[in-house]
Amino acid sequence: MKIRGFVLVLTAASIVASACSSGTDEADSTLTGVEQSGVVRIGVRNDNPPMSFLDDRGEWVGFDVDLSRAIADLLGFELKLVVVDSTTRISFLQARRVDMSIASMNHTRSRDEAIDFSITYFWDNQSFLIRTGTYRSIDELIGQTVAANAGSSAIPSWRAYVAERGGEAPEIVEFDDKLAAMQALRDGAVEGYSEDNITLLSLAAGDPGLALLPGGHNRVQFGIGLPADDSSWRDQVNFALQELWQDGTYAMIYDRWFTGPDRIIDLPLGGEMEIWP
Amino acid sequence: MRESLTPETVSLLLAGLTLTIALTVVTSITSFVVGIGVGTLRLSANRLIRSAAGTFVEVFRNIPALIQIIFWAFAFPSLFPADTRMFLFFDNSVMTWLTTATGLSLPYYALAACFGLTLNTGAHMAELFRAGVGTLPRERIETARLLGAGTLALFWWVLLPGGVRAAFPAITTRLIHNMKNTALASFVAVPEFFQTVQASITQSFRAVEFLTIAAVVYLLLSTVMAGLLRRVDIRLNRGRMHVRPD
Amino acid sequence: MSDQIDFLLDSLPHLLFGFPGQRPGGLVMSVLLAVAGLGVGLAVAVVVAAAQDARSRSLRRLADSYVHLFRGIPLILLVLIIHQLVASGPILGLNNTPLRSAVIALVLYSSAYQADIIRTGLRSVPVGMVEWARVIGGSRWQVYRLVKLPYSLRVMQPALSGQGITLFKDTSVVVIIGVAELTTTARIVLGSDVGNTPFWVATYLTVGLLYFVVAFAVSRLALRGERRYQAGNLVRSLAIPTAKTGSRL
Repeated sequence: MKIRGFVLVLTAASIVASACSSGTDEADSTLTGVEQSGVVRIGVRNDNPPMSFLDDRGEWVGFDVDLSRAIADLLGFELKLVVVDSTTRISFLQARRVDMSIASMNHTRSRDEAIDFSITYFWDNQSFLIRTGTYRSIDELIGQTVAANAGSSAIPSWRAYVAERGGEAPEIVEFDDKLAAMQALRDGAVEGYSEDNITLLSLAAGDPGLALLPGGHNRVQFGIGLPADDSSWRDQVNFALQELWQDGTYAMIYDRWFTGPDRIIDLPLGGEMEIWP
Repeated sequence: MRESLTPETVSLLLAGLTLTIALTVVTSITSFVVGIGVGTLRLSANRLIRSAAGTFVEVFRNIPALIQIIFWAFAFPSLFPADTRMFLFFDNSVMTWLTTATGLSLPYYALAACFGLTLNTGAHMAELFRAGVGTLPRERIETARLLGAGTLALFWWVLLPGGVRAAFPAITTRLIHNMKNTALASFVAVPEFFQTVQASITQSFRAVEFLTIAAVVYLLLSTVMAGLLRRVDIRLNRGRMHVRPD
Repeated sequence: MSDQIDFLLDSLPHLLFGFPGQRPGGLVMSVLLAVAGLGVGLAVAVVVAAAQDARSRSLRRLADSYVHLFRGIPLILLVLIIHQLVASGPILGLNNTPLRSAVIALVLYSSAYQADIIRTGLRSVPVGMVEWARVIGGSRWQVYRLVKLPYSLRVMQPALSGQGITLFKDTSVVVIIGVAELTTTARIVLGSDVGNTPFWVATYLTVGLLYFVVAFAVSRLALRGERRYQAGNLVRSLAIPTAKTGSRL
C-alpha cells in the first residue's frame, strides 16, 4: 500500500524535475524581455562584504550593488535586486528568474557549461587566512585541515593545487557561515581558511591575530553571470561594462570601496578591463 | 542528468547518507533515554525535582532545534578562554579517535549537533512518556504497590513498559521528526546527507534534480523508519487487549 | 560584560522588528510566517482531509500521498525545493521571492500535519449525530460542512494550537533562503562586524529566549482555553459512542 503511494510521489517528482530543467530551452533573448518590462533583475548576494552585504543599518551596500546600479542606469532600465546565494546565483539564471548575476562569481569552465559570463570585471586571488605566525607560505598548508565556504571555487582549486605538488587529498571542512569558519580558525579547529583575498581581507580587518598568506592558489576573475547562449544580451552587458570603465564610473566605484580614503579594505586594482574599439 | 551522477558525486552522497543514518540512530537512542529519564523525574513525589524537570522540558521544547544546534556547535566554545578551546574541542585524544573512527575532520560539530538534537527531542519525549504513564489505569499501579513493589520495581515493571507502550505512536512520530531534524546539522559544517546534496548542486548546477533525489531519499528514510517502528509497536503489544487511537 | 549588554540592547530592536530596510522582520516576521502558514494551511488541510474520506479511491490515494509527502521530508528541504521551482512573477500578491517561497513551503508543510489532526477530529464526532444528519436528508458534503467540521474543530483546537507553536519554531529554517525573520536577523547582526564574535553566546541565548517566551506564552494561553472547553465536554459526560470507540464505552 505504501509502496504504491511512494511510486506515485516518485513519478510526480520526476515529472516536475524534468519539466523544470527544460525551462532553460527558451529561445527568446533576455534583452527582449527586459525591454518589454523595463526592469532588469540582477541577482546579488547579501552576505559577502565588501562586495555585497548588509551594513549595520540593514542597508544593502557593496561594490557589486553599486556596479548593478551603474549598469542598470547606463542601459536605461529600472533596477530590481534579487537576493541570491552561492547556489541560486547560477540556478536562477538557468531558470530565467534573474537577467544577470553580479555575485562574486569566479569565471570557470565548469560554470561555463551551465551559464555564460561577461568579460572580467574584477581581479583577485585566493590565498589562506592563518593565525599570525603559524605558517609562512601556502605550501606549508598541504596536509593540514583547512576551511572553505561550501560550494566555493577555492575547494576544487586547492585540491588541484595539492595534487599538483604530490600531496594527498586535503581535508576541507565546508562552512555555510563565514564567521563560524573564522572562529574555527581562531580556535585552532582548522589551520587555514581559503577564500577570495578580498573577502579574507575584509573579514580579518583589524584583527592582529589573523594574517593573509602571500600569493595564492587560484587567480580570481569575476564575471557577471548571464543566461546561456544569449549573445545579444551578453553584448549589451559587455558594452555597458566597457563604457563604465571608459567614462570613469568603474574607477569611481572601485575607489570608493578599495583605494579611496573611505575604503574598507586595501586592494589595488589587479587588472584592466578589455576594451573593444 | 546521468552526466551529473559521477562516481564521486554518488560516493559523496552515500557518505552523507551514512552520516545521516548514524546521527539518527545515535540521537534516537540518546533522546529516548533522556526522555524516559526526565519524564520519570516529572512524576517524582518531590516537588523541587518535578518543577526542575518541568523547566527542562519547557525550555528545550520551546526553543527551535536549529537554534540549539547552532548554539552548542558555534557559540558554546566561545564561553571558554581562547587558549583552552583548541584542546577542549578540537585537538584531544577523544577527538582524534573519533576522527579515525568516523572520518569526520572536525567531530566536535557533529557531537554538538547530536547534543542539541538529544536535548530537543528528549524534552519532547519526556512529555510524551509522562502522558503515556498518565493513561495507565490506577488499579495497575495500586495492585503493584499492594504486592509489595518498591519504587524501583514499580518503575521498571509497570511504569516504564506501560508508559512506553501507551505513548509509542507519538514516540514514533517524534523519532521520525528527529530524523528529519538531522538535516539541520548542515548548518554547522557537518557533512550529512542534506549538506552533501547542497554541495552536489553547487558542483553540477543541477538544483532540481538533486533536490528531487534528496526528497525521495528522505521519504524512503521516513517510510522505512515508520515501518520498523510499527513492527516494534506490534511486538510490544503482542497478546494484550488495548484500545488505541488510529 | 557591559559591552555585551550594550550590544544586546543595540541589536534588540532589530531582532524584534527587523532591520530598517527589512521591516517587518525579526521576531514579528517569524510570528507572521507562522500565522500565515497555520491559517492558509488550515484551509488547505480541510480540503485534503475531506479528500481523505472521499468515496473516490484515487482521490483518497492522492490525498494520502500528499500528506505522506509533506510529512516525510524535512521542512528545510521543502523550502529549498519551492524556492527553486516557483516561477518568477508575483503569486498571490507576494512579490518578494524568498518570502513567497517560505510562505508556500510553510503552508504545504503545515497543511499535511493539520490534515491528520482534522482526520482524527472528524473521527471523534459522535456516530449518532452524523447518522441523524444523513437521515434528515443532508448530502455528504453538507454533513461534512455543517455537522462534522464545526464539532471537530472545537475538539481539535488544542492539537491545532500545538501545531501552530511548532510551526512558529520551524520558521527558523527559512534562514536558508534569506527571509528576514528572527534567526536570519540574528545571523546578520552577528555578521555585520567581525568584532562581534564574543557576542555569539549572548545573541543566541537572547534569540532562544525570544522564541521560548512566545512559544511558552501561547501554549499556556491555549491550555487555559482548552480547560474551559473541557468543562462542557458532552462526549465525556454522556459517554456517547463515537465513530472511534464504536459501541464500547
